[in-house]
Amino acid sequence: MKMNFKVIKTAVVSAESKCETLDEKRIVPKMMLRRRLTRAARIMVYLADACEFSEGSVVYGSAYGEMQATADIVGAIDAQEPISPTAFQNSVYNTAPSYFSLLHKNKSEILTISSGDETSRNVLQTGALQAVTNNAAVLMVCSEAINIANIEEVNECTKYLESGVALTVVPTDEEANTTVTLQEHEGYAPSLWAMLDVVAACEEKEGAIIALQL
Amino acid sequence: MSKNRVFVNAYESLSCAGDTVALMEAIYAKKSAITIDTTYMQDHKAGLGSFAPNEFFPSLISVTQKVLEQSDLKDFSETLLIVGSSVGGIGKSEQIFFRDKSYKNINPKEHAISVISDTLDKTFAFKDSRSISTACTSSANALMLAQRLIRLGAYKNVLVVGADALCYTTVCGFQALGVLSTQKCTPFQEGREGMNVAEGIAALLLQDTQETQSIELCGSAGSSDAFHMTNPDPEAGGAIACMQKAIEDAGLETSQIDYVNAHGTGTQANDAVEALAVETLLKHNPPMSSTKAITGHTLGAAGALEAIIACEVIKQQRIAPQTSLDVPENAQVNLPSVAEAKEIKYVISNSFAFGGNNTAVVFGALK
Repeated sequence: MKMNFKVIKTAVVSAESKCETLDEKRIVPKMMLRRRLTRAARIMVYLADACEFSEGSVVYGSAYGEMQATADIVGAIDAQEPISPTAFQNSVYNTAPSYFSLLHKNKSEILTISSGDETSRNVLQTGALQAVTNNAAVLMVCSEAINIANIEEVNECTKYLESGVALTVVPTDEEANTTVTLQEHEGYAPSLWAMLDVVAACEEKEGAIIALQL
Repeated sequence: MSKNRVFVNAYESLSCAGDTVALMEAIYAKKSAITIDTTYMQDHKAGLGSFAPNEFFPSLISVTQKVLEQSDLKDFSETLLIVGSSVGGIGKSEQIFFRDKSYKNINPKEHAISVISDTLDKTFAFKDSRSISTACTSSANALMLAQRLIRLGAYKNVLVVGADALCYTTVCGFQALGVLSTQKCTPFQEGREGMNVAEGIAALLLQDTQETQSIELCGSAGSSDAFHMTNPDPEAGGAIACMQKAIEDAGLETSQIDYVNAHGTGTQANDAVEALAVETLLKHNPPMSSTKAITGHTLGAAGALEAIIACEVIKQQRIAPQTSLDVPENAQVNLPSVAEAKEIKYVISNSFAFGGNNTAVVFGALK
């Protein structure tokens, strides 16, 4: 089943090692909260800010989740050292959108998708479903933050070790006016590609309307 | 737009209490399946729920095969798979890292959450699949999405699978948070020690067609606490909101809920807040119990496993009693000590997770 959605805002960020311009001090003024944010959470709140979204349903996606927290925990267990409680609470896949909800006191539904290379395709599908269910705008974010020590031991294809893509959509009865073409986005994790396709199709196009599969 | 009804037409599970038949026998006999483990942590005991070390993925296929055999489907080629899991394949990654002291031999695809849907898809060839990972609400959220998709007419059949294996990260992680019990957990008990981490697999086939043995998935909803990463809102705002919205989504009044299958982890914070939420919202004081006293906390699988228990409670018309309870902390909630026979039309099942992620699902007997 396909339905039509107006694309309101889009945003993309990427860096080969670390995104340096995430504007955290302005977006997260409380230092205690800012210090706890994971890299994925920093990317998430930056992209949400770029999309001017602070209240409403959120669908977040990541194929590999919170890699630094996971590496810290497994490393501590191996070394028979104490695990940081903060690392454990930050290790779940819904960490990034949960910090977004804390920052904005957003009490709406948050879902996190983790479907490997199909993650952002499934984020689009799930975001579309949530937008139709609530008849309201939805923020969709997909990011990967895999810049951890020794990542080269397993990373063979991703140039941008930190990257994220976001869009906000709202359901519409209007006809689709924009066609989304599947592409390879060199350097980006494949888990982001489907959403990067949408951003590429809607770039510099006011009032883009796309069809999304539920 | 069409609004189809959604029916649970087949299900199976595996937990430390065994398959679904054995699980319900254990629940009604108040016989906890938790064992006290000394292998995961040096110098620390932990109550854990394990069914068969190293048998997780074969069991995943076996449980799913049993659901297919119960169903009216000849295969899953027209079925969407939605998996809910919080750890995916991290157990295997841990073993490799502990052995090699490097990531070199870790296959990222086998580390990810999606290893569960990939494994099932290779065996059963689903029409499509997706995986949800919202910690301990993962498979409850999978049920919520499945319900919404079938309601809209996007799919006729959706298989929801909740699956999480035991691993060092979760056992040691919950120990680091100071919420792990050294004994069998005692949900809602005054002075309770904490939770038991457990593994579990639960699969439910949801369809838009009604069968004689169907249970209806009537309503579902989610909310966020927006309060703290691990501690629930002490005023229970998020828990109350998702329960209330799920009951409204089912087209019911709160007074129509006949039994609450609680999230009831056995931690101080969760149980106090959940009891407050039920006391505040459900003024008619329906029976409530946490079956985690039998199964332990199966994390991402818990929502699906407890959905099966909710369906069984409706089918058997018999309340699941609260195991391991002597003195309740909150005397205002109804925690039954015996497996009483009772007319049960509607059951609500709660799931709460890290990040203040809350989900409630409502099941009903056929009208």
